[in-house]
Amino acid sequence: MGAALEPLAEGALYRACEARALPFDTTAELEELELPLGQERAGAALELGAGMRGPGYHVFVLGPPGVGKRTAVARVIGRRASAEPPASDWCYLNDFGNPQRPRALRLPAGRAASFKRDVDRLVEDLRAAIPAVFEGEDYRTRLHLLEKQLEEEREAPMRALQHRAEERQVTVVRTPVGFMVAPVRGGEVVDAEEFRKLPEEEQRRLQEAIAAIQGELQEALRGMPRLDRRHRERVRELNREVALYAVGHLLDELRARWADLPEAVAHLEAVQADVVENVHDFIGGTDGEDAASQMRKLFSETPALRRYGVNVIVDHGNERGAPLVHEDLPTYANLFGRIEHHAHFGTLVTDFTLVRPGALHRANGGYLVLDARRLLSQPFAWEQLKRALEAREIRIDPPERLFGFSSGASLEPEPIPLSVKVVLVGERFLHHLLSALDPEFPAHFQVAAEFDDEIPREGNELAFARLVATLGRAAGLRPLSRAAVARVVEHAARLAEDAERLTARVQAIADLLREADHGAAVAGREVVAPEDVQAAIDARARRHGRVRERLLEEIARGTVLIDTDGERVAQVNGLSVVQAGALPFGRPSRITARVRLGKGEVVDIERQVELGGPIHSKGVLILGGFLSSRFAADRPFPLSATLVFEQSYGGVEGDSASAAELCALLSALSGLPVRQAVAATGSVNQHGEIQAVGGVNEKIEGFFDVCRGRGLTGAQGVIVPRANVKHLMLREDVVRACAEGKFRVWAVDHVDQAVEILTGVPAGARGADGTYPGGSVNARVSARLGELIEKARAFAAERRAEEGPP
Amino acid sequence: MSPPGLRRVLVALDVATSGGGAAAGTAELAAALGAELEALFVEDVELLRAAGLPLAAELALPSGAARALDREALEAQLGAFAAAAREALSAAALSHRLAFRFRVARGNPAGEFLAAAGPTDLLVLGRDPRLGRRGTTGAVASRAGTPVLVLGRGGGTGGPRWAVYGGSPSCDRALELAARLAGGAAGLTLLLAAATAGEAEQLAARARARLPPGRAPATRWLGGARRADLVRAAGRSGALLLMGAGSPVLAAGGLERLLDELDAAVLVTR
Repeated sequence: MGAALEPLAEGALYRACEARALPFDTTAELEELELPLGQERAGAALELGAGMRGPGYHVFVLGPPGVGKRTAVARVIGRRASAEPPASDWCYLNDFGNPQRPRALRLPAGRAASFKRDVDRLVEDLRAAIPAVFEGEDYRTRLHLLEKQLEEEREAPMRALQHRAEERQVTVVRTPVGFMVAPVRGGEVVDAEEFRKLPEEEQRRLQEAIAAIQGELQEALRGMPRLDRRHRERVRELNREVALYAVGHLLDELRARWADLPEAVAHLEAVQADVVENVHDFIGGTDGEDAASQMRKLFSETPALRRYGVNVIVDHGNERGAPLVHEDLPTYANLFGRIEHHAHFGTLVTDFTLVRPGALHRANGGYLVLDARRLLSQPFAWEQLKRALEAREIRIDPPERLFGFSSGASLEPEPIPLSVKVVLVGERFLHHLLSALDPEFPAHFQVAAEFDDEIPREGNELAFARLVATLGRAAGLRPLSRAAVARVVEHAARLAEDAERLTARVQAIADLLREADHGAAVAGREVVAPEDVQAAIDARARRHGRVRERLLEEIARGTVLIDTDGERVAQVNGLSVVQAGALPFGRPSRITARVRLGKGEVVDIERQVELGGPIHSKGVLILGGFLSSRFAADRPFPLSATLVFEQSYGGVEGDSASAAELCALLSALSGLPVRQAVAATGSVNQHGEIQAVGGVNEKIEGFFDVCRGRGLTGAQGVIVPRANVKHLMLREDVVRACAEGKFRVWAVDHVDQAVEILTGVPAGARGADGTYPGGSVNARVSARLGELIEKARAFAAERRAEEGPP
Repeated sequence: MSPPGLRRVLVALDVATSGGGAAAGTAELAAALGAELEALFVEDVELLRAAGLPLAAELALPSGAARALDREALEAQLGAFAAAAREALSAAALSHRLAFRFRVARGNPAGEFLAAAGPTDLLVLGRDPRLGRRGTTGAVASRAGTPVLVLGRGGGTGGPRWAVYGGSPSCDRALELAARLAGGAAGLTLLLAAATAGEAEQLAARARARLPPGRAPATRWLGGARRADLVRAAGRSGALLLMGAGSPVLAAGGLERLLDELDAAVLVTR
């Protein structure tokens, strides 16, 4: 290797935002920004999805939380919806022929309410008009005539019968429950004794007369129900005629008003026909109704006149443009509507007036925005949504029907034709899961609008400042000074974990702005200052720093063993990131290695006890590949090495410690001690190259905090992959310590550079003869391997000798 | 205080006319008059005679099915009939806290009713049956010397009180009774039975003079003084029509014919 590697300069550790380069004094001067910032791809996809007609072009807006997906959807879809014509109104009406199946009626936007008003007024008018005509003199006269007619029809044959009876000297007498026919003499009924005294001929004649009159009487009595029936029919016909007269002129006016809507007129015709047939419902009294029909009415599920009502389920009367509906709680009922019930004489009953709309009804003809996670977590909601989109109709099925057990007869409202654009908003993994596991998903949601986590920083700082201004204004916050904006920009880069990028998580920025504004308010400032922003960042770190502080405390107390000075063979300070709560933090971990004669394997103890994840195990296996290829390409590799994250109890995942693990192995093999003042992070490949890792800022800061707690010596520092230098946005105190030479950050490309820093001994480049310079790390490792090979051979020879000739 | 001569409401009951069909209305009437309530049920001897005939048979309502009927079975039916009527009237009397008596007699209903009715009674009669021997109601109503209430065709005692006024003394008594039953002159409708409008005016003035002071009753000229004028004017009113026996609308034995032509309840004073 060449000369000793220099630590990174201060400028490489943090990329400041030059406040002077921002062309404003406060954000009050900035124009608002059309969100989302830097999400052109997602925006274009959203525009395409919103504009595409035809089935299947529903939109899935995916991306991490807080990047402004909903805001973008509201803006893009809202703009398009407002330019489109309003959607139709919808009503449910009683189907007089089949009340179990309410009819759906589509009306132009804004006319459902007036249709309901007209029908309600019609019913009110009928309640006055019908009793008036039925209580009028004309009707009563005609009814009286019919009753007289019935009376005459009943009495005439009776009078004739009585007359014939008297002609034959018999009479009809009334008993408590019927009639008798008896002979008469001198106007009085003949008694038994007198009858027996009559000549036999006379007795026989009277008996015959009695029998004949009885026969006629029976015939007459049997004919009575027919007369009554005919009378009832005549009364019904009269009622129809009179009701039609009462209804007709009221309906004529409505028919004319709704003539442009034949379906509405058809309903009015149906109302008329039903009113005429059930005119008693409009008459207060119960005249003409028997007890049974009164009871039927009493127990009727639908109060009599309610059946003429109009159940307006969607009214777009006060809206401009197509509907845009956000359903925050997409339960089955909230999406597809429900059928309510009410208690009636101890049972639950329902009718068409209790059909309630869902979000799909309200969004029909426009746009429906749903949260994908919430939708998928609701029973039946997702499956039923696909079914509705497939069938292009909204069907209100009681959930129990979907479960497969019915609660008896229920309503089956007529399905409503569906034309809606569904926009699902959710995380990426939901989109990926649905794509992989639901074969119907791609057919319905052909447009994916994917939001990035980050946006490029270069050229976007001013736009980001406008974003800050927009968010602040939307939340009613104070303007930010130019320097405060610069600090927000820097923090956005830190949130992106990249000095060259800015976070797209608008929500996090909005939260920071609110908290900084609060600080400015407490300080009595009209404009938010950079110290307010910094105070908000620090306060948030403090609020979420309990676990981090406890860990540092335990390291300081020696409970968690981390050396920050001295030297130890086969022991390296590795670094990991702990995600506990809202803010991740870096944690140093002691990595140790042991080597012995073996079969050429590197054992990952974390994996053995199932505390290590697959990526970590992969990293460890790579170490074996590197060691064997570098030191035993043409000879056996009789090594068994074990690696362990000391005091790790929560599991290890990722390969970001593989460079440190390799250094620990090299130390173990070479016998060279490692400087404990230095920690290392980075993954390594089989060529020994150090590759970028995540959380580099947190890792550096985590080791810095431990060192600072014990006192910065100037010898302490962290080795990071060079590929991570562009990600560095370190805390101000870390940068300052580095600038003052109290702490160091080295960027390396290869494990040889890392091992040189850690051991202070040159790694040693391989010569043309395949050997390494004497005293170098690699020479020592190679020599140790040679010893192990010799020992392995000796063991093999001993074993052969013990086993004897074959 | 009951009006002079009316201390008892006597309900005439027999199988054919069944005057107990308006128990509640009758009791209400008795309460309004401050009278006691009594019912007389007459077992028609002719009916019993018929049941004693050989091969006597009854055609039962409503089917007309024939079945044998002897005297014993008929007496059982009459007993049940009387018990039901007694129960209904007793309950109605109790609800108005009226003194109540129920008597059973055997004989000719018309004769028994006329004999039982005293000068201080209001005799309540049902209507003759549509089929069978008729004439009891008309005969009793015409011959009784006491006020008679003939129930409406449906069995009711009528709704509003309408006094048919013709100016005779009996009409005056009917007017006073009507006002009493209507709770005052204001609740009364006066039907003036006069040949001319001028006479009607005079009758109205006379009637108002006989009524207690207060709001005057509604008046209406029948357009004539004949029975037909009354039938035309009040035929479907559903009212209780009160009139004196000397009213011109009942001239020439017109009560029986009026009852044939009119379904409404009619109360005739003497």
